[in-house]
Amino acid sequence: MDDTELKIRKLAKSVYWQNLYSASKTIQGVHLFNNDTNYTSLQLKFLYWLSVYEMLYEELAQHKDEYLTEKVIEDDIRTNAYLLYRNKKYDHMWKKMRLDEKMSEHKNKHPKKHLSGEMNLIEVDMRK
Amino acid sequence: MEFNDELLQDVLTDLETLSSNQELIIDNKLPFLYEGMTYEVRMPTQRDLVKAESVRNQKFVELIKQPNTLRTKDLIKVLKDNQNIDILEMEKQIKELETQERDLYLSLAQVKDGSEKTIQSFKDKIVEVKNKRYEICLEKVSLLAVSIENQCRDEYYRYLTSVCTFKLVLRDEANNEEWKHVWNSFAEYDNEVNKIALVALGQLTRMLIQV
Repeated sequence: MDDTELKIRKLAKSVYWQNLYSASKTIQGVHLFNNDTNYTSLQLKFLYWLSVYEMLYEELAQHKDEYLTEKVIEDDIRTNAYLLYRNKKYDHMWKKMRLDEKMSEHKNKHPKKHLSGEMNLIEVDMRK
Repeated sequence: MEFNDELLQDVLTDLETLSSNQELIIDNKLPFLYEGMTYEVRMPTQRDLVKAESVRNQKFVELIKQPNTLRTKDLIKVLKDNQNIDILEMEKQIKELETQERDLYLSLAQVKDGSEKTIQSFKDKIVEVKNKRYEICLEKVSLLAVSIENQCRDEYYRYLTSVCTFKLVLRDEANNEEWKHVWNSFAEYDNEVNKIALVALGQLTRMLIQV
C-alpha cells in the first residue's frame, strides 16, 4: 500500500470526513470538494473509501459479522482482508439465494416431478 | 473522557495530518514544494487531453518509421528468443502470487482480536508475497519500457505535465502572487535540465492514474 493510499484512507475513516460525507448526501450546499466536475483519480479513490468506511462503521454498529471489530477498521491490512472475506461471503450467499429461487420456480412449473422425487438439480436452468 | 496531555497531543497530531493530507483531495489540483518554490499540477482540460492524444499519435508514427523499434508483442518475443527472458512466465508468476496473497488475506480476515501473534504473522507473510509480486512487476515494466506503446504513453504524460504544471510567482512589489506556467511549450519542457520536470511528471501521474 503506497503512502498516498494510506493518507487517503486515514482521511476517509476520520470522524470529520465521515460526518462531512454524510452531510453532503442530505444537506444541500455541503460539498466535499472545491470542484464539482473533472475529479482527479485521488478524489475518486477518496469517494470510494468514504463509502467503504461508512458501510463498515454501519455494519460494526449492527454487529453484522463476528470478524468485524474497531481494531479491524483501524488496521488497513486487516480491513483489506475483511473486505475480501465479506465479498466472498456475500457472493456465496447470493449464489445460494439464486439457486433456491430457481429451484422454487422449477418446482412450481413441474409440481408432479417434485412430488414423485424425479426432480434433478441439473434441470434447473441458472442462465435465466 | 479525561482530557490529558497525551490525548491533546494525539488530537493535535491528527489535525495536522488532516490538514497536510487534505491537499490530495480538496480540489483537482495537487500542490507540491520543490527547492523552496511552490508548484501545482492541475487536471488537464479536454483540449489538453485531445492535444496529448495527438502528441502520442505523432510519436507512434515517428517510432514505427525508425529501425530498431519494437511493438510490445515483438519485444516479448525478442526477449524470449535472445535473452531467455520469459515475460509470459513472469505474468504467470504474478498471477500465482496474487492468488497466494488473496488466500492469506482470507485467512487473516478470520483471525479474531486477541491473537496478535497470528495476526502479525499473516501480515508479515502478506507483505512478503506483495513485495515479491512488486519486484517481478517492476522487472517486467522495466524490460518492456522501450516498446513503442510505452514510449508513446510516456510522451502523452510528458506533454500533459508540460501544460498542467504551474508555479507560484510574485506578480508585483506589493507581494501579490499569481500562478504561471512553468514551461511555455512542450519543447521547453523537453529541454529542461532541472529535476523539476521529473518531479512534476510524478505528481501528474499520481493525480491521474492512481490505481
